[in-house]
Amino acid sequence: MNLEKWAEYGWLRAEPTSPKEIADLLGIVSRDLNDARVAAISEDRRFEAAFNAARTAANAALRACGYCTVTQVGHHLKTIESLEFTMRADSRLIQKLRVFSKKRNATSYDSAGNVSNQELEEAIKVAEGLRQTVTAWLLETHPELMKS
Amino acid sequence: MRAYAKSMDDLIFGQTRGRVLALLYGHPDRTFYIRQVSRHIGTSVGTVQRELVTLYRFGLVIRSVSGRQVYYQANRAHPVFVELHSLIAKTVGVFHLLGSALAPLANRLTWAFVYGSMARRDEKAGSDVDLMIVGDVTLDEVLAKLASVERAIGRAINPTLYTANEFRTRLESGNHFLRSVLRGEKVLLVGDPDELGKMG
Repeated sequence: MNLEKWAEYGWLRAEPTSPKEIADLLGIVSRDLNDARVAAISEDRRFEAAFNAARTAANAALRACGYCTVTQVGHHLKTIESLEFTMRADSRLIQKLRVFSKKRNATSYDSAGNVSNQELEEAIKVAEGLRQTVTAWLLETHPELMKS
Repeated sequence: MRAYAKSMDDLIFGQTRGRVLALLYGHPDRTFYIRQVSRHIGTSVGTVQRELVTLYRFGLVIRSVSGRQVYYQANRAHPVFVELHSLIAKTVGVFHLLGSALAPLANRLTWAFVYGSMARRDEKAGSDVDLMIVGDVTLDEVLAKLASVERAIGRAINPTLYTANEFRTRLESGNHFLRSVLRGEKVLLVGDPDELGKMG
């Protein structure tokens, strides 16, 4: 399986990116990570921000590869799972992000107060780690996109 | 969209038979005597005995005698063993799989239980397994234990982790999510049911 196959299945669309788009996405990642560390708001909101940072970091890698997800049910999950092909991410990281994705949906749409302290801390740690990994990967593999 | 049966194991096996099969087929390498099965699934000895005799007559379980005790075991040699084993794992067997997977962490867990649609037995084909873990374990440790269970049951497992302290504190502060979880159906995998009951 690879990104080309996913495009054939209709999950992705080929679309070139630009240094500005990558810089904008990395800006969202930084903003959401900063928000996730604001202790004055609820754990739920902070968790949402941390998850959004991680998902946007994954999206930056996907855009750098020249693809974007097609808006349909589960496209956030596809962005996360694309890490396997963009950055050869560890399956354990993807599994953890899948769990976070479900929790993010549950906390946004089903029930308040279902994020524990450990889960919030872990989500921030994972998002920060992914931000650093994606940034280093972009500098190494797509330096032309980091010159905005 | 097509409506699926509310409880697949009840539909196919009947509640008691499903539980007996889940226990035996969930541990196909173990033998069980009748009282053991009865205690495990919370059904009378007489009812369990009738089910085991029926399953034995159809060859789905084998029996052996040691001293005065009769033991029953899943019949791996039966032509439908593989399919039945998989079917049970995807319905009631999930609880046994989860309990076994979490067993190595059990001494650091206060409670582990399934809640939501799986616990209510009204899961749909695409339902996830909602799992509450209360104890001193990390998400990485839990996910490592659950990966093989997810593969075996073909369902995603959504763990929520609390320390015992945080669980208690949040309940005391009226956390809506935890209160509704405790009010709803639960299938306890690890921990003292009476102590958990007091938390609600």
